[in-house]
Amino acid sequence: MLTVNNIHKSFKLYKKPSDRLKEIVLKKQFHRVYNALNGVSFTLSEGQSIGILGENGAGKSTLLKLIMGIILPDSGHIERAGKITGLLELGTGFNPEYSGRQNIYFNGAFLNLTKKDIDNKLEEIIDFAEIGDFIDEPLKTYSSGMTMRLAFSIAIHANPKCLVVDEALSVGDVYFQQKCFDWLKNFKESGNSFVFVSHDLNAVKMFCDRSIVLNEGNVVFDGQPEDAVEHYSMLMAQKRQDKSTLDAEAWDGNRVISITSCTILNRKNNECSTFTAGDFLKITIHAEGDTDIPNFSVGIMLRNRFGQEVYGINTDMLKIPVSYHAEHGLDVEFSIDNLNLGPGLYTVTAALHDGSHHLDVCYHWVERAGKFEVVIEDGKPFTGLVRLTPKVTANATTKILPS
Amino acid sequence: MRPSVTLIYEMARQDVKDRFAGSVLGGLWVFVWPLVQLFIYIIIFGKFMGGRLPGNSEVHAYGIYVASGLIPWTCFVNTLLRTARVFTDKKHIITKIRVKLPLFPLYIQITEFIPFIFSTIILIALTVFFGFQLSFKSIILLCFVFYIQQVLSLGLGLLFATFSVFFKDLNELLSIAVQLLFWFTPIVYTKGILPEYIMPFINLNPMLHIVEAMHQIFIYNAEVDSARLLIIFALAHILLAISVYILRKIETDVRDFI
Repeated sequence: MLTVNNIHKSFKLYKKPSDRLKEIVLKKQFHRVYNALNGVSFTLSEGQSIGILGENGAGKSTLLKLIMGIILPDSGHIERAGKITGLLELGTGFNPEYSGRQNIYFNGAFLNLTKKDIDNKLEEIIDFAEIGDFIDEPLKTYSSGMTMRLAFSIAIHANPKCLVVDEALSVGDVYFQQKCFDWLKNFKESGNSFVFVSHDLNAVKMFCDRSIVLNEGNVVFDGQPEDAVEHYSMLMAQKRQDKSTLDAEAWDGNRVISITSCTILNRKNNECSTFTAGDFLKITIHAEGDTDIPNFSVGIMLRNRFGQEVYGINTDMLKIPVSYHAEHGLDVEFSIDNLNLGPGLYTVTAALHDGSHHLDVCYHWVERAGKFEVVIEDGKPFTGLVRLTPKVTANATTKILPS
Repeated sequence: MRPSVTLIYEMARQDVKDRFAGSVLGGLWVFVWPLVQLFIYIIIFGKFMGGRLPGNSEVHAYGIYVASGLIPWTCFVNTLLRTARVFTDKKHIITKIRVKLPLFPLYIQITEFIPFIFSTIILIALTVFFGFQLSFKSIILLCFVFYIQQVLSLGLGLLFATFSVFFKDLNELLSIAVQLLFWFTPIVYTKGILPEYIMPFINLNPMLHIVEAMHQIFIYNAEVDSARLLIIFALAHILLAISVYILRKIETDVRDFI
């Protein structure tokens, strides 16, 4: 379907366009070379879908553009069997002055559809996009959601054999997103492939048969999506460690003793930043200082991405005595057997203070000392902020209402 | 191949529609412009300003002379300038979907052909109306000459389009060059008024030969210099081939820079 063979791609970065002119005239180098991809290879067979993970700047977009043929590689080659359509080009050439119908023809032409193809599919496209009577109104009267729906609908009706999906699916309302995901499932089941790039680790796990992790232009992992997600999380955790977690964004306290690290570990005692709901999670806080402190308290607070306090606990509440001796360091571990949280990003706040709260004497307070993501385990879906594990039964009873 | 044709056709259609989008007369403007232009050349220049061709006292001859040179010239220049800007102008499309860069500017040929053909039809009608001879053979010849100049505009345009991705200034330089070239082409004057020493240089201007051929067809109803035309025909195609070759050669960089 798609073979990417040892692709190298670098960009010449010029400070200003005239540097390029100088380079030709003076025969001296005025550019900086940025290596976006260093020998990336993978093969995608028919009916397979692949997820591409990597932080910003890892080379994901460059790879997608190369696959799409918008830019050309320096060396290596890409073989495409069958038509590849990208959702990068959602709505390319849309003109707000024209009706939805006219725009379908124009956009369709960019997706390699002939006029006849579009004639045949017009009704389907309009139906899927749920535009209704608006189809003959100018595009400028559409809501942004409607425009996106129309664009997506055209793209998927362009008969691709392989679809390149960027973050594009993160737009539109939840209902339409689900419709798109359903469509993607069917699309895959009928033997088509797709390349999926997303920061949504859940989606990668759900849709991809395989996943590669890109780091600084190299493929550092290629395998099962679950393992890839884990690998990716580890990579991200390492990166954060390198930058030192505790150049904290917000800190407070007299620093008589200080938190020097806050690590988040999984069951295997590996550093990890992605957990499935209900998983084991351990937060280790390491503290050091030069003074003995007989009795104090160590606490953590979990916040969700809106900054709401989801859960907080400290050793004082737990009636666990903690003291500090200047000749040692101190590790305090919070092991959570069942991380019963809903999916999403969480931050960990760590604190060292006297008594049950930090208002009297606070030694050190680190906001966002750690970060992790909770994803839903395959085949055990639920929604909401917390994971409850109800036992559910359904029994026949006598009728209460008169029939 | 088929989808490419559709793309070019749709681009052209959209381009024409864009130009008149939201205007009351819409597509009628395609007729209005050439009519106004012809009115200026034939009536104002020919009649009120008393321009005359040497050896021809016909009132309208000068008007027809100017128009028959200016109509193809306008088409040539518009095509050239727009082709030279095409990669930067259509960046939002080229950076999003896979298009064949050498074929992409062809839509401009279509859109610029439309005003040309309307103007030319009106010009032919007027030429016949004022009693000039115009044979069927001349019309065929007209098509041939037009073809050459458009190949020339495409070749030159592609060359500038390729390099202007790196140096935007090229487009400004080209606009100025075109302005100068206009006065080195016998459109509003006849070649006869030029001093003798300038002849070798001015003959290097390919558009001079195109415009002269147009004059032969419309005014003098005489044989064109087919040898000269064939040389320009060959040169235009060689230029186009070179432009496409260069574009292919540095396509990687072009796409990175767009």
